[in-house]
Amino acid sequence: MEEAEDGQLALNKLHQETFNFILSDWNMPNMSGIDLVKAIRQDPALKTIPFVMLTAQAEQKHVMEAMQAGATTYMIKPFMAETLKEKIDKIF
Amino acid sequence: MALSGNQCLEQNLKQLIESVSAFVEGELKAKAGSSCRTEIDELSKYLNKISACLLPAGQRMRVISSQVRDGIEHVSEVNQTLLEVTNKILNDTEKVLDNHHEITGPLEGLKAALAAGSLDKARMKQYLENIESLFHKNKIALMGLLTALSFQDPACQKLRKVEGGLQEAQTHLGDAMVGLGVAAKGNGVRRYQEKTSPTEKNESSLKSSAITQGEVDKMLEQSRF
Repeated sequence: MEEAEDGQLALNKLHQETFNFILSDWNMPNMSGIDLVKAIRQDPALKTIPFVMLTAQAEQKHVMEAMQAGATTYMIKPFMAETLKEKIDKIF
Repeated sequence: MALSGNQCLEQNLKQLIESVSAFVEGELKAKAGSSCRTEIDELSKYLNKISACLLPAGQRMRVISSQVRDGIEHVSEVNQTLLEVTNKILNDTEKVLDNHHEITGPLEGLKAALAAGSLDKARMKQYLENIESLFHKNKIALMGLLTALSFQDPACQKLRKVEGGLQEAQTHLGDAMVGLGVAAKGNGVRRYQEKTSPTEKNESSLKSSAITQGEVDKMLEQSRF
């Protein structure tokens, strides 16, 4: 498991190593979560990686925006660890 | 009976005075009327001007009032969340401390039994199982703490909305003050620059329409069919 402080650093790491899935916040400096998922879905080498958006943005329009951008699933903060585990298990 | 010369003169003078008085009175009345009309016209134009200032100011006041109302709702929600989360954090912290004290019991027992050389496999297993169970309880309590502490993100989101709303209200207030002539443009009237991130620029409304994880899951399911 690797961590990145912002979307741009995450994208850089994704180009360097192979990852099974991505867990990303929405609000990040340099590159937001929504911009990150858009960039990933446009990259042939990365577009199939499952992307879980974790965010406090708990409004319908945000969910729609994330799904349209290519997020695999969406979790609202605060959340229980078990719920996150269930979501990830469902993906795989 | 014929009037004397003097009486005639007197009568003529009287008539002349009356005519002149009537004439002057008529002239004055005409002038006064004209002056009034002019004054009323001026007053009417002035009232139209004021009305033109008040109307947009009134609209701005409505927007400000709505922003303030929404802001109060958000702050109230944050207050409520803070209260609930603080209680949860205190409860979970207490559980961790209690578990910590409980662990010392089996640990001391284990140490004493080891020191006395009276530790058999069964007893050791029991001590270790007790300790393991308490560690597990602590893990759950710590996870609960972690979850509770993540309240800061949604709370920050809401407060950011309130901040944005207040900035907008300040701008409207400034414009209203300039429009009403209470302040000159650029002189004591501050317009705030938006400090929101690009992803938040579209969120001009303070209105809260938060949904639950369950509703999100439903939306996700529907979008897949």
